Amino acid sequence: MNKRYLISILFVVCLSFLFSVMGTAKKKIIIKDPRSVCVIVNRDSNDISFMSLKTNKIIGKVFLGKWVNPHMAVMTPDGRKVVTGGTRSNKVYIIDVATLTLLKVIPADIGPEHLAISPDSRFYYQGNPDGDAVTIIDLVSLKRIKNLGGFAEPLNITFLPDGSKAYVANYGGHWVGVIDVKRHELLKKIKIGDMPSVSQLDPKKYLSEIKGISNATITRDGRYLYCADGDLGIVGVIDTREDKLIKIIRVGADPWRAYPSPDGKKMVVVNNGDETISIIDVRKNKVIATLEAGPDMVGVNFSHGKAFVISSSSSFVYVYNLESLKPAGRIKIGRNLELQTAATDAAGEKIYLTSSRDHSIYIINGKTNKTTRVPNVGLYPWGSFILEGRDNYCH
Amino acid sequence: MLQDIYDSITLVIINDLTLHYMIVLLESTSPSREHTLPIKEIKNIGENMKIINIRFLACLFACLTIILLLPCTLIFARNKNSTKASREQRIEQLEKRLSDLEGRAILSDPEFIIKKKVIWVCKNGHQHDSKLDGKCPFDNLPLKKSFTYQREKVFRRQTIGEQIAAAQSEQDSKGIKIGISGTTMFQTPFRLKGRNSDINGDFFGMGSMDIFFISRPALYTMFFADVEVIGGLSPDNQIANISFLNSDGVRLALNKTLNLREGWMRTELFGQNLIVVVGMLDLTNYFDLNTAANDETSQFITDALVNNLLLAPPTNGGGVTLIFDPKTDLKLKLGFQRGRNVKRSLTDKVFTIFEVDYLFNFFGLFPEGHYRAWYRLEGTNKENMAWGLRVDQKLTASITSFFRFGHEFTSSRFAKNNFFYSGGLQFKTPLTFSIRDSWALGFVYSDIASGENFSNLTTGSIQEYLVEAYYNLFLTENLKISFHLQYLIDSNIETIKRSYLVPGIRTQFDF
Repeated sequence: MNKRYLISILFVVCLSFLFSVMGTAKKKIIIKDPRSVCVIVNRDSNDISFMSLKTNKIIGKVFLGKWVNPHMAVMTPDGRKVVTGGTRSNKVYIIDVATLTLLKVIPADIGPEHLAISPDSRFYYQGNPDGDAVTIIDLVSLKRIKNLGGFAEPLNITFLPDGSKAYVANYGGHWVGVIDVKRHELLKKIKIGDMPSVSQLDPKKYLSEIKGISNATITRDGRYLYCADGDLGIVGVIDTREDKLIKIIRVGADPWRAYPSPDGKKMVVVNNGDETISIIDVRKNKVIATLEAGPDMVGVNFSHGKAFVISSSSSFVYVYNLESLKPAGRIKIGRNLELQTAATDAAGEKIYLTSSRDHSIYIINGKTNKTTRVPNVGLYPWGSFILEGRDNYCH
Repeated sequence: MLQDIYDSITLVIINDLTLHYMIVLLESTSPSREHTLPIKEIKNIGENMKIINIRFLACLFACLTIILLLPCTLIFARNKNSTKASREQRIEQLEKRLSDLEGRAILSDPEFIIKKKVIWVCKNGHQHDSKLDGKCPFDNLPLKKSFTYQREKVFRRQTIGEQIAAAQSEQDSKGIKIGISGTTMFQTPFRLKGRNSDINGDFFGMGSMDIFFISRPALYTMFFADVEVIGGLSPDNQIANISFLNSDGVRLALNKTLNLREGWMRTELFGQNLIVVVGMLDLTNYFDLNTAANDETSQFITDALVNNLLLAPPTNGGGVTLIFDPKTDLKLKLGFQRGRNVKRSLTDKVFTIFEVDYLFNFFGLFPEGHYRAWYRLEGTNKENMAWGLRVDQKLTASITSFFRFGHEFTSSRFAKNNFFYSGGLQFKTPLTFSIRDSWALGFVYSDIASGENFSNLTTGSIQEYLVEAYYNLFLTENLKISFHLQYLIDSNIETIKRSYLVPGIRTQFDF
């Protein structure tokens, strides 16, 4: 009798525990479809916001910690995790997308900013410009594999579509580093252009501050990389099969980086030195148009055959028709704003532009050029990301 | 049961201790190792002793153990607790110090930004952050929407370097920026055709310096002033020509005297689509622009290759320029300036110019080209009207062609009007020695029948041909040197045909 009584009690306890666990787990799933959200990295509120693309409402935030100041957030291609580097905490943060929980904090090097994820969602390469190193993290074991040094202010990192190599742009130098992803070793250094001999006459420019390569922009087919060099005013084209510089294209003054058009036929380079953009024909590797633009350009997005060039300090987005290669007006986003980078959705219809000073996201309709403001997304939004979006980049 | 376990453990301990004691005792008393009792026997002795004294020894040992070990255990436990507490305290202290270091010592204080904020204000001056229910809490009067500026703390850590840079940038934006630009030009004309008394192989030098002041007194508003001094001798003083071999010489009003060349205010209206510039203007900065032939400090030095001769704006003076620029392929410009020799009122005689600027690329066959047409008038007299075209079309990314045409109407005293043509090609990298160098070839043909500048004409028209080539060597951001060769092919001014070859060197610095 006693035994039966005890077994019954034990059964009831186990059952209730099981139900409670199941109930808790069900409650925690916040994002079912990772493609349905826009990830917003908020520099000053030290969190990552997740905004619904359907309702334009913030559906969740993940606080990273005080004094983190995240710079760029990227979702893994499998949509399971969001990773970001805390520039002032010298750590990287891995977030579970479904439950919006912070999975792991891993030490990086000094000042982590831009990052890239391998196409198979396995490896997370975090550039540390102040540490001259790339931190490599295994996203399966959530452990740091190594801190790969030998770079010069590594900014953006680009993986080949097959994930075999990663290219690291060095803003503190004039070369692109090639990493073997299997061994996580720096294989090669590809020089972009020759320094002019007259540069020796200008130590004020060449020895005080360096504006090298901020990004190795890959063509849509993954065959070539376009690397703009700020000091030299050129774009070097690298053949990724041979890791060889095949062409140097002269563009405007102080080019920041190249952005590929959706059809893969053109590259738009923003030249902040002379406030112009250069449009390069990828097939001919020639500049086919140089057009007036605005000051402090930080990004280019594409929609409906148009290029939307973000001019940070002017509060304007300059629009260009990529067919006629002519300017097509500009969109006044506001007054006294500081526009940052933007992501284009998967359909190429809408552009999600971050505006840091007024803590907002501006959604630009690519067809009509009309904007919709979503305020209070977090403090000082610095960048956005949409899984499978057409344009995802950081400064 | 516990007692049994205790007893058995005690027995084993006693047994081992006894054995050990016996072995040591025998070894110490035995004269040599050879006489030592075999172990087996010792074990037997031990067994016997165990049987005899086991109970007594067990009790004794247990008591001794308790007496000796209990205080030690108590002391050890106390010490252990104490060490643990101390360690925890220390960890806590270290964590606090680490937090302090992370928060303050390594980097800087929190960042503050000033932010525009929407507020709701009552009639009595009370301010609310939200609209509430649209009424003031105390008097139920309606709330009025307004805005203010407020400091806001942000959780952003900045390095000291970043803060210094931000402070410098802020200081720069608040103050007046000053820039200096200087040009020196040396030319030596060699006579190929003309009178024997004309100059040949003489050395001419001119220098100019501009000091710029730029400030931004309000949003989208800029103030600009340019104080200039020009001195020296131009070959145009000795060689009669209408193309002007040194463009600086044309701008020379008073030798080696400081004068205000420009001073204006610029603002942007109607969604920043309309640019308004008011003040003392140089209209050539807004009209007849050309990417390849428009700058006497880095491109051609022949004045006819800097601007269209028939544009003929008055010397810099009070005026207004309106530029409608919706950032498409079309721009419209309208300029007004005080007319020549006006002393009484600015409206006495107004120089008016209108320009249309269109961006064209031959449907993608060529890179971009700018096509501009202008029309100017001063008063209603026919001879004060002119129109012109200006084209700069990129043929490739490194080659730009340019062309200018001008047509000025003349009074009925003359049989034909004045005409002006110029054109050429500009080359950039990879067709240069260094990546930022440039070089160009240009030609000018002027056919002038009349004009107040050339009132010394007695008969016929002036026809002049000129060719210029230059190579601009980009040395540093602040220093450029260019080498020029001008060939005044034929000029019939003063009814005498002249021809000169004029090599020159120009140095340009900017800060």
